[in-house]
Amino acid sequence: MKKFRSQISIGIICVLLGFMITYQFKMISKQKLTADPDTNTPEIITENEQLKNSKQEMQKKIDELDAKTKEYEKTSLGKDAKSKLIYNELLETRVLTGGTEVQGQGMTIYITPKSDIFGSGSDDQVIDDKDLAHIVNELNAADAEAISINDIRLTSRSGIRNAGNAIIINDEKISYNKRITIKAIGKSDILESAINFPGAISQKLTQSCDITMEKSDKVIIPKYNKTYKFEFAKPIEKK
Amino acid sequence: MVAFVGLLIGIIIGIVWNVNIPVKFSPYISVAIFACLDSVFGALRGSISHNFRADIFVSGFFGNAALAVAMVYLGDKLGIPIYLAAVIVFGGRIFNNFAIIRRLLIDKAKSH
Repeated sequence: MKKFRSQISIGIICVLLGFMITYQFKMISKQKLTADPDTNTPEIITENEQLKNSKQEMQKKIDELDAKTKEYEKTSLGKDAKSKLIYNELLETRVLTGGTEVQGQGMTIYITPKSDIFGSGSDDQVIDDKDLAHIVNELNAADAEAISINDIRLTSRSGIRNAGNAIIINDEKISYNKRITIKAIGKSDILESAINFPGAISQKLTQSCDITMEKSDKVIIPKYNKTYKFEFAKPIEKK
Repeated sequence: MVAFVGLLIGIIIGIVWNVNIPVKFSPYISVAIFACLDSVFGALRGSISHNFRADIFVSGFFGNAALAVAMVYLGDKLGIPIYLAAVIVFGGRIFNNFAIIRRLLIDKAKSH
């Protein structure tokens, strides 16, 4: 009788085990089937590559067109002082609006997130949009003439803001848990002292990231790649 | 013999019966399966070395599964993959039991 009961219990347990194993098999195969074809990683990778290629081609076209406009400007530049003055003013305005690549003395700040010991918190937001905006503000206050973050040129109309799982600057995404490079052109001593001033970089950022800076005589900042549109602001004409 | 019949019935039930267990329980079930496999191997070893006890087998089967599931839950809450501990321990014990079963079976075959 005892033997019979133990046999029955073994039988029941084996039924349970078999059921669980087949159920899990079914679930996992179903999960693979229902995986969305749109979020297929290889497809996304190839699409990404294609988009990158088309971006490069477009960049080439932009460069060509830029070269052409420069030629036109030079040919239209007359020999009289008036047109030269206007041309110089145009160049200056370009630097101000980010229309040209600029270089000069300045400094580069690297913000590198410290790696987690457990490696589990890598999805956390390490760098805050407000911290970046604060640093940019400090640089501007220290008379920086041109600033870029991860080679995105900041203009008078650039915003730095969290959106989704990234920080968006000029409609371009930068990751908030990877290294961020801030470049600024200006008098490097003043820039450095402004950044080293207590409070210029928030305590939270210094705790979560390694921040290094580097003075240089030749900082290159790329140009702003979009065109400005003014829908509402119109100049007032004085009579 | 009973075990194999039971396993077969279980597999058939699993194929035919479409129950809905939420997907989020999937990791719990896989760890529970591992725990159960461990107790089945333990039982196999016990029955070969003639000291198998049904009550210990049944309590071990459900106890191991429950403990493993509890560990997965705790790990989920704490953010530490504690279930790895369960997987490593059960995996090691399965291999251990298999080694003993092998030895016993070979000794038996030699003595005949």
